[in-house]
Amino acid sequence: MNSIILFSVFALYLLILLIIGVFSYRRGMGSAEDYFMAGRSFGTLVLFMSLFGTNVTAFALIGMPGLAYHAGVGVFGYFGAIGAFVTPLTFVLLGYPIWQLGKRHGYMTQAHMFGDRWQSEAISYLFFGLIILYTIPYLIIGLMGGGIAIEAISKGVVPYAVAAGFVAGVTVLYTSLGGMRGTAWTNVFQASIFLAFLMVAFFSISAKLGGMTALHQRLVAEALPLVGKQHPRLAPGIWATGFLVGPLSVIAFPHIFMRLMTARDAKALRKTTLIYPWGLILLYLPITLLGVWGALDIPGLVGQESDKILPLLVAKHLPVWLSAVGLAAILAAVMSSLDGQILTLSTMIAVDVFAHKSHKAIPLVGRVGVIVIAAIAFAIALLRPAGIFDVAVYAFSGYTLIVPIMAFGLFWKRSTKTGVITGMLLGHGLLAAYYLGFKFPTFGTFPVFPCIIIESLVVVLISFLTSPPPQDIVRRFDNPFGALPQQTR
Amino acid sequence: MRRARILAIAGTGVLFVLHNNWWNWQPDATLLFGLPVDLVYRVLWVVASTGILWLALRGWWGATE
Repeated sequence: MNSIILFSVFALYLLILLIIGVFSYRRGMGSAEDYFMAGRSFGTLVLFMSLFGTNVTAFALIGMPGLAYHAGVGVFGYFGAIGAFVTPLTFVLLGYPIWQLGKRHGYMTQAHMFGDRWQSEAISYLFFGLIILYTIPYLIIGLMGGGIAIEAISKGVVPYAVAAGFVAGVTVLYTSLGGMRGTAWTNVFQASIFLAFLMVAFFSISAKLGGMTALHQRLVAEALPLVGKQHPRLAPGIWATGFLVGPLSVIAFPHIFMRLMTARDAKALRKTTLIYPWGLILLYLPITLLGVWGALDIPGLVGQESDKILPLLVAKHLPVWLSAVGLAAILAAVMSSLDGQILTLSTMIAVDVFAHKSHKAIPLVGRVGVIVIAAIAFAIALLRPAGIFDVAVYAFSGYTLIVPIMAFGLFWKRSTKTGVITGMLLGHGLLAAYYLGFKFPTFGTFPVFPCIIIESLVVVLISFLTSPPPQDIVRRFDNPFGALPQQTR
Repeated sequence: MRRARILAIAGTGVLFVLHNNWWNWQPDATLLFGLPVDLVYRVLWVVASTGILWLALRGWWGATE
């Protein structure tokens, strides 16, 4: 009976995704601009939900309560509060210029925009290569997360390989059918599912455990350290530079970068920016508290065992049908990021590599790219590489190093291609060297902190030592906060 | 617009200092509205940060409409 309910809810969830994919395919115009960017036509709701759904990964529903289980309520300040400010702030400072340039000149990818900014194929290739390098581990982790979640909740009835293959297959189907429109509309549905599930789980579990005030009185009496910030993951140096690795890097994610350019107008972007912090708070506040309550209700989980705390709480306190919705919510978080990443990589291959082909062929290249990328990620996910999570931490830091380069391109006219290439090679090279074993001193901060300073200083220094770029090229990037001409709005 | 930009930059600095509240790293047993006091502090921090975001929007996007 339990299995029937579980699979019925799961099947319904997947069916809705496919229906949305088919529906958005029928709405498509067939052009590259429409397939990859949905005609840059999203209003506030779709823009917000697609950015939010893509930004929130399975880490929020699995890893964050798992960490709060050990480290306590400080996790909210470390991930939630600072993220709710820094990420939207990057939307204010970099998001509008990116959107405006995309609208004016038809840019779709970072390689395209910044290669053009410095008139340099080398910079295009650097962006292309680095972004592929940093995004592939996330695809693999997403598939592994989906496979592990289904296998665990179905109690092994669905084996890992079948589950991961199924997640990949469904994501490929609706992404290749619907393109950007399909992924954004499914993101609206997926973000609604995980937010709604979280609210229901939060209030139901709190009531079952005797109410919030009673729970927190117990927390203070029995586990006082969990209301402080003593955990090594929350040490002051890590705390102070944590925003560099998480919130600041978000705007450099290619799937977020592309989605920002799909806004219909500045108003949609402005409203999304102001709503964004509260979407993150609605997610991070309950998920942190659920993790901390888990430490009181189901004590004794060691190490990464605590990553199961949300499913364990749900299974212990909620009815089976709600557990099934919980599985759908975890999958929604996984798939809403996976689809964005797959679509973005296929866009990069189609636009950055095959741009010289006829415009009609480009969406087809994109669709084939979706299938090929997902197949490669699935093949690696089957091997379940042990070191993949370390690679992911490295990749996050790598995205962070792309942010100052984007800022130089948008705001500093004097920056030169030689300065940017040297800075990028040095910054990303140092970061790679650190994770490969060359442990330079970081003074208790994240390793990306010294790298970002060195990268930026080198760009400035070499730019001043080399000839200024021709003004006719720079003019295209003039006035980053100016209004768009009427006809291109 | 210029004033909004200056206030947003100054506000961001103040928020960063308040985020790194190293003077209050120890567990605090106080509950406010039934919640640990650090959580209430963080939520108020986010309320303040929304104000700074609004100032930043006015300061940098003032000419976009």
